[in-house]
Amino acid sequence: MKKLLILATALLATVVTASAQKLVIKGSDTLGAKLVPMLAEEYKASNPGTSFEIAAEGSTTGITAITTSTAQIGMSSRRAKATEVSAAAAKGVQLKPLIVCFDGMAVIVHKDSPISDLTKRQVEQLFTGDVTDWSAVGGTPGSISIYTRNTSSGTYSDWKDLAMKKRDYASSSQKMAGNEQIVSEVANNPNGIGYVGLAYTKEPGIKVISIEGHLPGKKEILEKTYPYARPNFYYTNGEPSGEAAKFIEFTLSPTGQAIVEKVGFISAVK
Amino acid sequence: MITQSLVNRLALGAALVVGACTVAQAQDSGPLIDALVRKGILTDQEGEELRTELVRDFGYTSPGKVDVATAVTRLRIVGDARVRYQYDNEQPNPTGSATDATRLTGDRDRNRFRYRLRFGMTADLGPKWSASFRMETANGATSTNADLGSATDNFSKDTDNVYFGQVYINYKDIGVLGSDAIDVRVGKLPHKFYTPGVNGFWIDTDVNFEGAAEEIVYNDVGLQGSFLSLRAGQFILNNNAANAGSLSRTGTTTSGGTTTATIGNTSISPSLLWMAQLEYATKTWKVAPTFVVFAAPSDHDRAVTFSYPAAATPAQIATARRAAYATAQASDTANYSDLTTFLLPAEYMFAVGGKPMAVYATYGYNFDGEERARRLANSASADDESHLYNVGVRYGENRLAGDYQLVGEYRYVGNGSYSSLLLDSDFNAGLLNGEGFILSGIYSFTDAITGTITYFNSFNIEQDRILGASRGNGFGQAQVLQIDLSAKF
Repeated sequence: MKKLLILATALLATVVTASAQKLVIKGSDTLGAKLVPMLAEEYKASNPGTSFEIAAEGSTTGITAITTSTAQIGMSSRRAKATEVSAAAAKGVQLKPLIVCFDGMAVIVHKDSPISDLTKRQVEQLFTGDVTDWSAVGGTPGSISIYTRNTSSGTYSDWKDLAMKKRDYASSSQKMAGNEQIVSEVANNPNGIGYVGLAYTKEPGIKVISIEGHLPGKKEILEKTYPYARPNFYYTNGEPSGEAAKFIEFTLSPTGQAIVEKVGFISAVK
Repeated sequence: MITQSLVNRLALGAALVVGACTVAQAQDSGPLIDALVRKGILTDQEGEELRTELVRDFGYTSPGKVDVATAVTRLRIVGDARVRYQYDNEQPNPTGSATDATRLTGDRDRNRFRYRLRFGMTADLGPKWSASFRMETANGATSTNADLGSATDNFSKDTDNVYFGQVYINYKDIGVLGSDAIDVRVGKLPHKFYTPGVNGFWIDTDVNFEGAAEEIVYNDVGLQGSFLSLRAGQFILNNNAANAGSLSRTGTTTSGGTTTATIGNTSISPSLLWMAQLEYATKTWKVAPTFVVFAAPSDHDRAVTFSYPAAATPAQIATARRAAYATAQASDTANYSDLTTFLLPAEYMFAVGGKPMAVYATYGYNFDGEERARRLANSASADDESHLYNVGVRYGENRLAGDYQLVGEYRYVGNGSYSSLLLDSDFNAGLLNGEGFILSGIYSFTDAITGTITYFNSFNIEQDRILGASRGNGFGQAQVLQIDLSAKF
């Protein structure tokens, strides 16, 4: 009888283990800090047998995790680089991107600044240091203070690509740890300028600048009329399958995309 | 009926074909995909999948398999190969002259078959910085030629060596000090000094300086379309680190009440070559006053052996040691200080028969010519000849297949005027105390392949110049014929 009980217990444990699905997701801090954990919680509510391991340590780690098969889904706030795609292909891994949401980067100045609109050329001149006084772009005379993300941030390099024609930042630019710090500095400096994610544009003390007449709204980003926007991705090895496919499907569902917008991103589904 | 789905598929297919056709197009497909997405022909998702597929396909091409560091914004690979037949005829000074005892002897004919390879890379590291190297056959400062058949066994490779001719870091910028361009380079570097003449005359074109060089350029100074370029160089001539000896006193012996000791040098620093040039150039003429100066190291001494009384006080020993150092310093061959040469190269350009033509000349004078002539002759009575010059005519230029260039030049280099360290080594073997002419013709078989024939004929200015330095009084006459086939890549 005792042996029968042990056998039954072992059998039960095996069945439970087999039915419990663990989804490993690694990568971008932009996605992994809030959005994906919230999606995972909601997903678990209707899929109680699923557990998650989420590691938000940067986009590079997400793409590497797919290449090394240590995660089913890689999160990335940037496109995979050519070298990453090639390195994956060399290992027989076919990186497949899936747009999860869009993220706009807003140019902000102090709330009292007379500047309300800039051209893309002026934005490039401001952040590269080609112009150093606000009077050069129609503002109140004063030395321009530039606030950027720090060099380890993917957003730091994305901004160079999107807004600065890949040129270097002005040597006088000040590197901030995150969006909150940039908002804080600009709100306290009438000569300040910086860029932040859309989720931070409602903070007090700052003003969002339109670019050639376009503010960073959902419509402008989806219609590509606002220039400083980027997609955020899930990466998988080829077509996703199993629990990963179900989670991706959930992410793109109306429920998932509602969470996307709640967190402050733009839905990828029109 | 054409459906939207069909349009999308066609666009995808077209973009794939365009993107996959060539490396450049694969890399440039981003804007095309962006445009297709913006126009609604592709969805964002389709655009991303297409982008990834193009990158992946590029990775299967030969260039796509090369992995270059992300810091490198552009990588240039350049080089050239040359094969040469060279005939040398070197004749001594007349028998019975004052120099007969130590003159270069013999009437020598040499038929030489030579080659050279220069191969290098420049990695641009953003818009302002770059790093470069160039490898060269042969180790001489003024030559990159290796001799065919010079190995110890037939066709063996023991003399086919490769050396680093250039290794330097370059910084370029605009707007510094109100300039239109600056160029700063540090390391073992190619120079930018203006040196009209065959093979660079007063800076052999094979010379790569070691140290630092700077150039600052201003456009439209005085005349529209003009350039004012200021150049400077600080080059290390002789790193006396090689002469470093032990600081401890060694080999001390006492005999007959006198102690003899040997002591290492106490300070080490290089001799320097300073160069400065101010070039003003218009579309038709240019002039570039220049100074070339050797500077002795400010703080350098030699290992010396000196003697002092066995019962000498420490102060007396120090005095004896300083005196010995002073004597050694005076005869230190690494301690150059007798070159202060002013040069004035100039050129006038015009067109004849639709081809560019130029008359060029350089005049130079060494203000320390007498000191230099006497040091090289190892004589306090040697006369000085402190002048050097060249005058030449150049017709045509080589850019495309079928182009040609003809050059005729006369050259004069007095025995105290300059340094054989820098002179073109093909004329008079790069020695001082020579004059003569050069004729040269270059023809471009293709844009990259040229053939060149050059003839050098030089004579000693003074046949009985007092000797002392190595290679004596030079040749009575030296003739060189070079026939080259060159390929640039």
